[in-house]
Amino acid sequence: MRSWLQQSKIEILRNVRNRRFFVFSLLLPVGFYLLYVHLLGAHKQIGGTTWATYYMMSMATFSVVGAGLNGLSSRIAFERTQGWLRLVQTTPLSSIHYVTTKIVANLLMNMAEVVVLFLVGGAVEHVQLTAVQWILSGLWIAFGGLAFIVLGILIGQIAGMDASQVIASAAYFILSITGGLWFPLNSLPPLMQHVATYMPTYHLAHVAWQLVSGKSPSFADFAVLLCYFVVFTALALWVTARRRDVRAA
Amino acid sequence: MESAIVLDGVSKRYGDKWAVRDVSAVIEAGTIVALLGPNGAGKTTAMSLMLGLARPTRGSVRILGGNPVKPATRRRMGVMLQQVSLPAKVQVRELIDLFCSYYEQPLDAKLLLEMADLAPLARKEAVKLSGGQQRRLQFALAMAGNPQVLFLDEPTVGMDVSARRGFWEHLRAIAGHEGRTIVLTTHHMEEADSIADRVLLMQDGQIMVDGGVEEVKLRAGNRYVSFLAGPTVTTSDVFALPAVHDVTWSGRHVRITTHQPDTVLRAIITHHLDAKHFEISQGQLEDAFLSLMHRSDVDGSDSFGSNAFGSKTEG
Repeated sequence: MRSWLQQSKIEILRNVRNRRFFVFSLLLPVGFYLLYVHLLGAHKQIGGTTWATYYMMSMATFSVVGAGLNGLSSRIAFERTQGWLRLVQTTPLSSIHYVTTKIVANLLMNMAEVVVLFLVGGAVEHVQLTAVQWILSGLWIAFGGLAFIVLGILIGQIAGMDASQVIASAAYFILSITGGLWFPLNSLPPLMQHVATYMPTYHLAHVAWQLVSGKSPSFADFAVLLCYFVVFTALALWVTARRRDVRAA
Repeated sequence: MESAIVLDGVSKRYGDKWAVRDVSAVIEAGTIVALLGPNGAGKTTAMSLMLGLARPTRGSVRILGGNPVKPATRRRMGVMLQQVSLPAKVQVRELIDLFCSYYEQPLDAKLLLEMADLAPLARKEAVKLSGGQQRRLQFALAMAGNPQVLFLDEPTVGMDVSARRGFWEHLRAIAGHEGRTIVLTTHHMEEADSIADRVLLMQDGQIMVDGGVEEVKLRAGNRYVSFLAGPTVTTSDVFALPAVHDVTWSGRHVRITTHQPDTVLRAIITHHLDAKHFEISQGQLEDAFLSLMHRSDVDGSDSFGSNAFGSKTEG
C-alpha cells in the first residue's frame, strides 16, 4: 500500500511538472472555450442548453482526452525503451502496481482538469447548473476518460518515444474534431455527423451534454464507450504479452 | 553456508543463437564475483537470467533458493543496470523514497543519499545530474532494499578515475555486511582484480575460467621477476634458483618466468647473485585472461586484442 501511494505520488508530480500537460490539457481547452464562447455568444441555445454550458462540457472532455493520450503514451514509451522499465522489473513492484498507479494518477489529473474547466465556465461565463448536474457530469467525464488513458497506454506500448508523441497528438486532434468536441455536430456536414456517432469522444461528451440539458443519456453512449474501452484494454494486454514472448524467445 | 546463487545447466537461446550454453555455477553467500569476458560472450544474458528478466531455455536459476522472477526473491535483490535513463521531472530524493517503498525493510533514505554522496543534491531533478552522479544514484536505488544479493552491471561506466576509486572503496565497505553477495561486470580488469574474490570468465556463452583471482593468475602463469644482472651472472646461475620456469635475456636484463615470484626473489638474495633493479609481478588479471583465452582460442583470431574489454555494450 505504501509503495502504491508513493508510486502514485510520483506519477502525479510528473504530470504536474510537465509543461506539455499544461499546454495540451489546460491552456488549449480553456483558451478554446473562452474564444468560442465569445465568438458565438454564451447564451445561444444549443441542444436544449446554452452554448456556454454545452461547450464547457465539450472542452472538459477535450481536456480529459488530451491528458489520457499525451500524458501516458510518451512516458510509457520512454520507460519501456530507455531501460527504466527493465530496472523496475527487477524490483518487487508488480506490473499491476506499475500500471494501476499510472491510471489512478491520470484519473486524478482528469478530475483536476474538469474542475478547472467548470470553474472557468461557472466564474467567467456564469454557467448555471444544479449541484447534481455539476457533480454527475464532472465525474462522468473524468472517469469516462479511462478509455483514453488505456488508448494512451496502448500507443506507448506499440510506438517508440518520438512516434508515440506524434501518434498521440494526431489521435487527440482527430478524435476530438470528428467527435464534435471542437465544433457542435449540427454545424457539421451530414457525413461528419454520421462519423461522429462511431467516435468514443462523441459518446463521452454526449452523456454530459444530455445531463446538462436535462435529458437522459442513451444506452448507445455507454455501450459504444465500453466497447472502445474493452478493445483498447485487450489490445494493450495482448501487445504486452506478445512483447514478453519475443524477449523470452 | 547458504548458496546465494545457483545456476544449474542454464542455457538461453535467442532465435537460433545460443547466448548462454549449459552454464553451471554455485556462488556462496558473501562472495564478490566478477563476471568477465569479451563483448558478446553472454555476460549480459547471464545477468538477465540471474535477474529474472529473461527465462532460461533450459536449466534453472536460483537466487537465495528462490526463483528470481518472484517478488519474494526480488525483495532480497538489488540491481544496477547499464543504460538506464532516469525518468524526467523527478527529484533525487523522490526516486530514492520511491525505491525504498518497494521493499519491506528498506535502508534509511538519508543514509542512501550519503552512501551515494548525493545529500546536497537531494532536491535536484535526477536527469540533470552528471553521468557519474546518475550512476551513484542508481547505486543508491540498488541498495534501497538492503539487498542480500547485489548485481552491478558495469557500475563505474561514466565515472572519472577518482569517482571510480571512491565507488569501489565504498562498495568494499558495505560488501562485508551480513554476508552480502555481489555479482558485478566490468571492463576495467584492474577493478575486478582489486575487488573480486572470484572471477567467472565467459566466452561464447560458456564459463571458460572459474576460480579465485589468485588462482586464475597462477593458472595463467604470467608471473615474473626481472633484474639487471652483473657481469659474473650466467644462465646456469639463474636456473640454479628454485621455481624458475624460463629465463630470457635482453642485454644484461634477465626476466624469470615463475609461479612463485616471492620464492625466486628470496633465493636471488640468499644466493648473493649480482643483481639490481628488481622488478616483480604477481601477474595482472587482464594478462591472465588474454593468455587463457588465447589458449582456448585455437585459431588465434585477433578478437581478444586490447579492445576485447574496451567497450561497454554487448549483444
